[in-house]
Amino acid sequence: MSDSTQIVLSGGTVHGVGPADVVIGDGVVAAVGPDLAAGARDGAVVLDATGCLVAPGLIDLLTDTGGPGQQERETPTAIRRAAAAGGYTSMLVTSTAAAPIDSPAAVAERREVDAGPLAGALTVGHRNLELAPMRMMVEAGISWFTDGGVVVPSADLLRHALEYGTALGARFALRADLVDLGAGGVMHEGVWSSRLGLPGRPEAAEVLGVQRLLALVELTGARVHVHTLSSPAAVQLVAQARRTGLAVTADVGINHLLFSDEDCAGYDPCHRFEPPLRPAADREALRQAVLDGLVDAVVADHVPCTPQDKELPFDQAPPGCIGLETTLAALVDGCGMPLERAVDLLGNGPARVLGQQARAITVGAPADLVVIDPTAQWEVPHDGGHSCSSNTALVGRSLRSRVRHTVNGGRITLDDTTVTEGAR
Amino acid sequence: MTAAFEPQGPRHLLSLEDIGPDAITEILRLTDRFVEVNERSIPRVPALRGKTIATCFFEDSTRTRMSFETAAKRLSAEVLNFSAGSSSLSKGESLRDTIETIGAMGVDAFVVRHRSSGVPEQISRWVGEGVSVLNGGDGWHSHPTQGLLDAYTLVEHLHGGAGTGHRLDGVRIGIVGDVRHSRVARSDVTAFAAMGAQVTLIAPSTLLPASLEGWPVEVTHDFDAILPDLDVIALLRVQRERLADGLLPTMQDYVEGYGLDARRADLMGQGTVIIHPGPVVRGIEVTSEVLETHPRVLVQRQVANGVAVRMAVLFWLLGSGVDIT
Repeated sequence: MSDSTQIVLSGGTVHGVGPADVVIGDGVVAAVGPDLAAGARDGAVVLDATGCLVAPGLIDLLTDTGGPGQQERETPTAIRRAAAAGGYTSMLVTSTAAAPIDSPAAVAERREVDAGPLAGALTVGHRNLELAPMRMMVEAGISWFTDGGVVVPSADLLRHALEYGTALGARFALRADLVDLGAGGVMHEGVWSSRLGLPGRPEAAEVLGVQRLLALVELTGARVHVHTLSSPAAVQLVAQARRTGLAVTADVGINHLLFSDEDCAGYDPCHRFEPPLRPAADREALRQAVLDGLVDAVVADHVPCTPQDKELPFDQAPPGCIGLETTLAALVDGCGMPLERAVDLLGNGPARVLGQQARAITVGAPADLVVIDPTAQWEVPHDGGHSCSSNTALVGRSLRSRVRHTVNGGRITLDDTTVTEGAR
Repeated sequence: MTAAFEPQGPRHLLSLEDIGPDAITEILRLTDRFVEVNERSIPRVPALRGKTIATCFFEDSTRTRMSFETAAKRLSAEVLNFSAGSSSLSKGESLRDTIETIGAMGVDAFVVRHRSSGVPEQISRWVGEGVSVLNGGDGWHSHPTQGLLDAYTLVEHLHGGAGTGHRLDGVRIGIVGDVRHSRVARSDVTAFAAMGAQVTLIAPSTLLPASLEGWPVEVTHDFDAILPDLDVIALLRVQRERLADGLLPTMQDYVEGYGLDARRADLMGQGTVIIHPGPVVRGIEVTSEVLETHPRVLVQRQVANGVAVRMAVLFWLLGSGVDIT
């Protein structure tokens, strides 16, 4: 199939439009309306969307794609396939300590393999000692900087990074929990950490961290996106700051909406996260805050880890789970989020954070589309799916609602739940 | 002593919360029998002949390992010893590889000690069908055989043994020291409460867990005030590293508030006993003088009963359908 082949998404309900077919040609939406399949060109590929929602492709803001030397955990091909299966058409590729994007050369190298905007490292190697060459990285095409999930301990260093990068027009995607309160903590400090005999990190660490970050945003005028808020109190702080005019956006990780600290009771390292899973009451409050529109996006927080890493003792295993293929279904079925809201939180919300134009499905819009069957029941495979890693606590779980087709840049990357060559 | 024992409990002993009060009571009653075995001139029974037990100690502990090993041998089981220091773990072999390698030798039970909480439970997911995992102490989480032997020692002191229905109803027990970082405290609380005792935790707030919700305990920071009312003082080890953690100002400050010295020994009630899981840090949780001269220090009984309790636990898990004699 060449890029000029017409694609018709037939018989679905188009997000923001209603029941309609969508015709795709030359990488853009060519027509939206009733009964277009019959009039399609010869050789057009018709994808059945009966009973499905047709929505703008999902965008993830926090994906660890592995990076050079990390092929045990993840490869660019596997990421593209997992993204296609999960309905994602774009992602903010995040620099990490394991594979830092901290130089113009690293930017160039990652551009070769990773699709989507890159978030470069704030500091060299994420060691939080010296600033990365931010100007040269911006010149190489970077517009986002990140702490790579490791909060910058020094308020001075973070301030200088925000000032330096802001002057270059860059934006920042940062975690916010304070690192020196409950520093050795591996789970939420509370009833369960006390019973399980695991060192805990109190929710106050995140509240203090967000307060620190917001104060620095006010001081520097930086535009900051805060990753994976887990504390309802922290979400309220960000929402309040936004009302006062600070340029702050925020996301919540799917895992914090799905699980609670009680899930750590089996000592399965797939329940270890940064920030840690909170009590069930916090999780409910977090779900409500997301429903109320207090955060901009929900992220997959995709962190591939080898089986060896996740077979370490709970307190030594690296935190995080894969999530690209399960996030949509988990949000809808696991968290009870209405499907239309879910595609906003996973698609339009992240697009707004990235500063992209409105993504209505209209003629001329980029053909980044996802077709979701809200009634399909499926089981998360034991190998975790297309990712090189299988570290997810959802393995074996049955979920309702599934991505049926994905079209990325006018090419079919997922055809009736099967990843195509187009995703490679 | 002839009826075959049919265990009803779970396959593993990961924590006392897991097995529940009925199983705790059952194991303590079984312990009576093994105390008797241990008093014989040849303290050995064929109960677990043909069984193989691997002691996997990823954290050093000579005492607990020797106790388990003695227990296994007195039940006529084969014992494989693994310790982290002398192994391929130091060459980068994973925990799971280690367990699976030992398991391939044909093992009926693993006794696991690890500095990280939860490792025995993780290992229980990796062992073969029908293989038991016994927690020999994990992190701050649980030390079930210590909880059982402490409870047994108290029942024995008060009633001569667990017998049929001897319990600790109404017995007032104070657990003193670093509860927060103590697996012994967590297992003691569960074992003592299961036997009907009233447990009070006595510690500075920084050495208590962040939350005691759901724990069957009272809490006080005033040792002197509660001391005359206690029937049992269960001392815990307090390690110097708590100073570096900023949890205690100085050891002297701790000793002033919670150390068991001659003055506090005088405040103890008639008949009040002292237990300690060992090894004792003399001069911190208790002075040498009290340890050596107080008439009711049960530390030696704890050690002796430790072997009997571990025999009971091994038999409870592996002795299905077998006569003890």
